Amino acid sequence: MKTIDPSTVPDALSERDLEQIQALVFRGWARDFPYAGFLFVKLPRTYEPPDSKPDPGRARAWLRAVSADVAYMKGPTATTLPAGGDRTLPGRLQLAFTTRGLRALGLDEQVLKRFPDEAKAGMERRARVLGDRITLAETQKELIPDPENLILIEENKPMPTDWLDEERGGMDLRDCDAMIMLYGASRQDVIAIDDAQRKRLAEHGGTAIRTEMSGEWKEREPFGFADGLSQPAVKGQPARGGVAPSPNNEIAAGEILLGYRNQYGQVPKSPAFDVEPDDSAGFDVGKNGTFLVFRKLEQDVKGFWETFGKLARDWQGVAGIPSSIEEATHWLAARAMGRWTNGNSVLLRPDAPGEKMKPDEINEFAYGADAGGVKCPIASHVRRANPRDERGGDASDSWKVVMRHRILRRGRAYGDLPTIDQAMKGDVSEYPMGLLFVCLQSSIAKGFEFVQQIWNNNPGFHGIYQEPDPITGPGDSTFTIPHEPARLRTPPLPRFVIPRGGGYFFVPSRATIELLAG
Amino acid sequence: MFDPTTYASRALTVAAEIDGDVKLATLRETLRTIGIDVVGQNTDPRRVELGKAVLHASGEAVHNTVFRPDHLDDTHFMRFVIVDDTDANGKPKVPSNPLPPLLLWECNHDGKPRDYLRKAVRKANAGDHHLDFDQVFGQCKAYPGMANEEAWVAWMLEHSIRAEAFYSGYRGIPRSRVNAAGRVHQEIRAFLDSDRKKYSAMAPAQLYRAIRAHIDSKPASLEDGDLEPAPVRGVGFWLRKWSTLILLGVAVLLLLFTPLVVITVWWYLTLRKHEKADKPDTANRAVHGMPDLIAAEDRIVQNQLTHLVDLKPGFFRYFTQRVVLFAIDQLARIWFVHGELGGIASIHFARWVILKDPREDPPVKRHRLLFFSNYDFSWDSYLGEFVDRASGGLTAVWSNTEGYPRTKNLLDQGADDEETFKQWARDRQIPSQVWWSGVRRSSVQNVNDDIVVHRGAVRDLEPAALQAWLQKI
Repeated sequence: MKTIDPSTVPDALSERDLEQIQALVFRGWARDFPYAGFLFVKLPRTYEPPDSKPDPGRARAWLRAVSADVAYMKGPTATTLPAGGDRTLPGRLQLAFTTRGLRALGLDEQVLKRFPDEAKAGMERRARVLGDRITLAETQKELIPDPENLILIEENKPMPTDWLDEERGGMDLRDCDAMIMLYGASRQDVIAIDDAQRKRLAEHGGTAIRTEMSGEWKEREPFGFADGLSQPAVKGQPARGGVAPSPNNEIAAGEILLGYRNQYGQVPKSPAFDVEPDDSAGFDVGKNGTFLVFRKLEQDVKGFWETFGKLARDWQGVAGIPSSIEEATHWLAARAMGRWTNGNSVLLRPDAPGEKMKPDEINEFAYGADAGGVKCPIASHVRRANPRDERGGDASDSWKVVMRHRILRRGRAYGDLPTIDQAMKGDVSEYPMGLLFVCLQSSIAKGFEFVQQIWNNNPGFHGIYQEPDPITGPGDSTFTIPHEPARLRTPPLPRFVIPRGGGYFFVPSRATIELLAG
Repeated sequence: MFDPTTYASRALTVAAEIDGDVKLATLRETLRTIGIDVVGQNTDPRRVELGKAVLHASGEAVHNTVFRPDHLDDTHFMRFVIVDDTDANGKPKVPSNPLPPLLLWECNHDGKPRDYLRKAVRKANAGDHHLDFDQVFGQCKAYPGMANEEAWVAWMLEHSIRAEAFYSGYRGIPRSRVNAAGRVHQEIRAFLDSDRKKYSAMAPAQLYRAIRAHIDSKPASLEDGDLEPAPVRGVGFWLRKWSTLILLGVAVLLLLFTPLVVITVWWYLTLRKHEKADKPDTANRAVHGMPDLIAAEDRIVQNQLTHLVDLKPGFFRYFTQRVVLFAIDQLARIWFVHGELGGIASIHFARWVILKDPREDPPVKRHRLLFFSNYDFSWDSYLGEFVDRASGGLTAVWSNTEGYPRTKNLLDQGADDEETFKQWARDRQIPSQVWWSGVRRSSVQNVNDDIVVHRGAVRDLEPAALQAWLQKI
């Protein structure tokens, strides 16, 4: 292990780096490809007699075949995907692996051990951090007798209770090796592309676990709120036109990708080969890669609007709340979200939603002037998911801290999304719907897990008392709305978002995919 | 001059040598039994049977018959820790120079240690079978037993070590007032929820009077127990504050602008020499910790940290360490009295203790720096706060200890190297066999808010302060 002087490592991407990085880091593909499918697979494992050592040969052959389909930001990249027979369709494909999958591909054990603990443990073993409900018997599986033993970590994983409900789409990804993200122009296209990928996988001896299909991309999530408004920009990322990021929204490349300086001014530790005289001497497996969190989140759209509707009726006549039931319902739900359904922040438009603000205005705000939360409640979802200048100390201190925990979101909604009017009236499909949440970061512990545990689900976030996130939290908690003359507090709210499974993945660079393909 | 807020919070650290391997094993077993009950944090597989009730009763403790920390009066947090000077694999840390195993009792309590201990042992002897100190300390050398109360108290005091630096997020607030404040705040919350329409329409002054009248009427939840609010800092505090600041200022002036500057220059040059020769730990992967440490974390609002590291050998580092801790201790008494220590607002109680090498004639003296912290939220966020907000102060403390990331000028670098610093901290964290929190649901800020709300609910507020007080609820 050579020590690197962090000041010699860049914190911004260069043109050449873009050839190495999977395009997902910069593109969510929503406008070009409104449909997505997430195919979870088990790679072939063959064992060589007589010593029964696993032979990664077939898994690597599969990877060689699929690697030609992967989309990168620059350089050779696939823009059409196989769709059965000789047919190809316009689409994009991105690849991610669990550490289990990397082992199946024969990645050196020493390097695998250098992956972060949470990546090796998988989302299943992080129930306490993420707030997933789990039975006592399952929590007993939490402790691994030998934390250095990769096989022990992979086996006998605990399962959160809600992930076991197959009828509601619960997912068991304990044996998952890889995730293939497929983006297409229509549902039929994604299905055809998915079929072709499954067939190829089967030819190489692998098996498909399941495919999670998104619905058509809309600019809102299932409850009906505009989504994806606040995304950090990565220094040196290719321009997309539109508005330049404000300084507090542009983060060092090392926050999202391995191999760059991060917001601490340090280069995050990356799984790399030792510097020894051998073929892959010193090769950094992590460089230009990122960690991906996939989490299926069912949303109880009907329960959500019913709860706030009932609250609006019960609170008729409370001073400061709109007098029409409908407006009061929206007002209350917007307090819990921190934004109105059209995306306007309640900080900038505290009393009524108004016209949807322009793209260069809608995300430009700070909470300092509203320290008590009278405009935007401190406990609201959006405020705690990105506390901006209000994480304690003075504003610059807070921005410093917050910029060390940003994530890039790449999720898609699933199910049959109602219109906002249908949603508020409870005219909602009985089939499950929700979010296929995807986010990227250079450290899951400092990114997704930190945001989830320390901001969103922290019952004591920023001085509030026993109130986790009112929208995405575990439910059964009150929600406090700062108000004049004194705060209003709801009765305990039910749970609106139910986790239905997920996993932690690594999104490798072009060079690492080439290395793994052998 | 007596000032309750300066003198009430105390840090008791008892360190007693365990009497041989057999007794060490017995003690381990006893503490495991207590630990299973107390936080439901123990990682022992038997937690399945014993733990069932723990988790079912929404995380509240089911009760062991040996030792229940909640039976100790005037106690905020406490823990029992076995320090056996071995590494994660159970091997001696320094095989050629091992130290005897110790039992540590960390206690954050009110009042003078002698009074506190006397009260505890009397309670135990008066028939509280859940305070069986004998089963715990009986495994230590020359332990006298609870039967002789005075001998017991004397022994405890003899084995207690003064903290070099002690901080509290609500210093000087007695445990009983923390409790009362929490109950008053809860009652006001419920009161406001009982008729939102009525109270939302009131003017601030009117609402304030309504709340005061309600609390005065002694509602059911406040029936027993007095409603006296927590003490306020008085003249004694301000005298101490200004005299300390003046003395520290004079000391600095003397060391910089008089012939005594020779000492300062000598110290600085020696420091740089040491810093260049230091051998910091390095890491080649992301931060990781022992699974049994991690499995015990994130079960209530707070977590705990027991951290033990050898001081770098020699007088220079020992001396520097003591000076730095002395300065922190002074500042914690007079400056960091508003619920934050150098920008870190998540510490309920923390202390640094130097465990001096007790041996007569060791091959090399091994002094150790012990750090106890009772903090809010996750380990990663707490250590992250160190790095984000107080890296200079922490570097000044721990750069005098083994393996710390490379430093410059005592304060620079060090903890700035986030991953290396966190790994260094994890590697020297030791398990706390029993840890108990008296405020399982409240953060430091919750406690401080409770205290302000409580005061305003029983004492008249200035009209100008009304609005801000109402927003605290």
